[in-house]
Amino acid sequence: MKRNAIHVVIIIVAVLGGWLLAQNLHQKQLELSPTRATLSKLPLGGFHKFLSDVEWMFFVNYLGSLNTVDGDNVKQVVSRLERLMSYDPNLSKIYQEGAAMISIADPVKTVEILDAACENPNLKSNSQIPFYAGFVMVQHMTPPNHKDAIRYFKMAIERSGGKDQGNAYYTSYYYRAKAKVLAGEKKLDDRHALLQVLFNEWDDAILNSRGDVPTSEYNSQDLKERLLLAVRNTKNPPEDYKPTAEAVKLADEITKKVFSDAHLCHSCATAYCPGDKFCGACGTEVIVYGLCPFCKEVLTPGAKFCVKTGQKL
Amino acid sequence: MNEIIAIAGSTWKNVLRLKVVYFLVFCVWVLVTSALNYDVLSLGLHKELLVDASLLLNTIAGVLVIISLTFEIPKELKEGVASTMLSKPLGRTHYLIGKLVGYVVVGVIVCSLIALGSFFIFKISFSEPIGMIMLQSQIMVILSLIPMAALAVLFSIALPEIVAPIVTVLVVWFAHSSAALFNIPVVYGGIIPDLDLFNFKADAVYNTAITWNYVILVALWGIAYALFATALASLIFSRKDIR
Repeated sequence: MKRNAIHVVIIIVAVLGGWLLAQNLHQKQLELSPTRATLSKLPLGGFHKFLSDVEWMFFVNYLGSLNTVDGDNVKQVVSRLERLMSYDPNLSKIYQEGAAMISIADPVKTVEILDAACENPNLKSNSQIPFYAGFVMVQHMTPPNHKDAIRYFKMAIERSGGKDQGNAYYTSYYYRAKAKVLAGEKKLDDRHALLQVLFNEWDDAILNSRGDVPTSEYNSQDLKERLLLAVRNTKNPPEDYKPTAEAVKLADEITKKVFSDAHLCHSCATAYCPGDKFCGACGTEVIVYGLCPFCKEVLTPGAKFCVKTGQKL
Repeated sequence: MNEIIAIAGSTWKNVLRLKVVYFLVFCVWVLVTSALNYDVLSLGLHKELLVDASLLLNTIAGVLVIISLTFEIPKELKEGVASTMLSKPLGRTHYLIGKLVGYVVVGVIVCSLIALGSFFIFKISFSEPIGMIMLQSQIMVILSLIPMAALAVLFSIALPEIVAPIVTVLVVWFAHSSAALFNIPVVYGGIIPDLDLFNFKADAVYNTAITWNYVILVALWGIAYALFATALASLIFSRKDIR
């Protein structure tokens, strides 16, 4: 009788202790791996990860058996992708390679899948997934959704290393998406809008470095190069593009503000050399620089003395 | 205490003498190595597959060891070996704890051999260091043997010989999904086990860090649950007639 009572006491203490510990551990486990809450609720014996590996190989095999992913089979592909996500939402290949397969047949679903991956804390260092979400929005959606794509491109830039080290490819798409939105809002042509966007970015960056505004976009050499290219395209346009007077005015303003010390031809924005009187690209008369103030000899860059007279400059 | 150690000692010595145990370990090593062949089919995920396969196969090997316990106890009771052993001064609780400890030791040895072999295969295949999480998740697989062995003891006492292993496997299987019962007080974790608390297979693959504090707490939970299951088994066993 006494022995039974001891057993009962042990059982009660162990049950209560086990319950309290399990509650605590369950919460801790969700903190350690938050995506666990999104796993399939099917009783899989804790073998979700292994099943995802096997399912992934079946998926690769299945895709190999298809000629193309179109309206006839896209539902099946999506269902396989969703099953894979329910086994292992952290498998980046599902999004980078799997979702790519349905991006043309079902771009809305692709973005939905990629958006879920963007929110996944275990994939927060992956820049390709948000970029691809934005890419599908602007390339495969009808009509393209540039406005929402901006958020994804920005996320991709930030994840790929922040402002100055941002992947140039992501940055191109980011500026272009912003330009498309601006073009739609202000009824500008695409190149004019891009010029405006790049100038705004540069302006923000300059203000930011002065501490006038709390946050800003990407201030880098890359931005200046893009801006110069856009100015040249406006001042010296290709045959298929006729810039508006406003665009040319903006290009002039940018040349003055951004490239004041770059010695660019005011007509075609090509850089010219010390001593040049005319632009080598378009023949326009330019402001001469780099001459000795005493003898007007052309100086070598960085010279401290005139090479002809020896005068200190 | 000496009686428990004596029973546990004879149990693990008997099991570890069986060549099939080492054959099982060897088969697992071969299967883990075979994951390397899936580099093309998995589009380069063979490293992850190897880590995952080693954890999965280690879990299965552990369950197999535990299942053999559900054969052993009914067999000993049936053949009268237990009744001989249960002659005084050895108590029935001592017998159950001895069996439990004996099989946990066997499980620890088998699973440790598999884990060490898997680490060796990983190291020579990828020339990469063994991550802390890989070690921790293998330790958790080993720790999960404690509540599983206690469940096996309980079912082998409470259920008929043929039913006990099947029920043990089913309970172990479904105990990985019992987190759905999280909101039921006392039942979750107290009566119904949550073996998924030991499951960090995906985290090992992705190198997600877990704390040693968690490992210690989960070991404590395993011991608490084993206490419950063994005490219950002992209570049932004390009312059972043995030939």
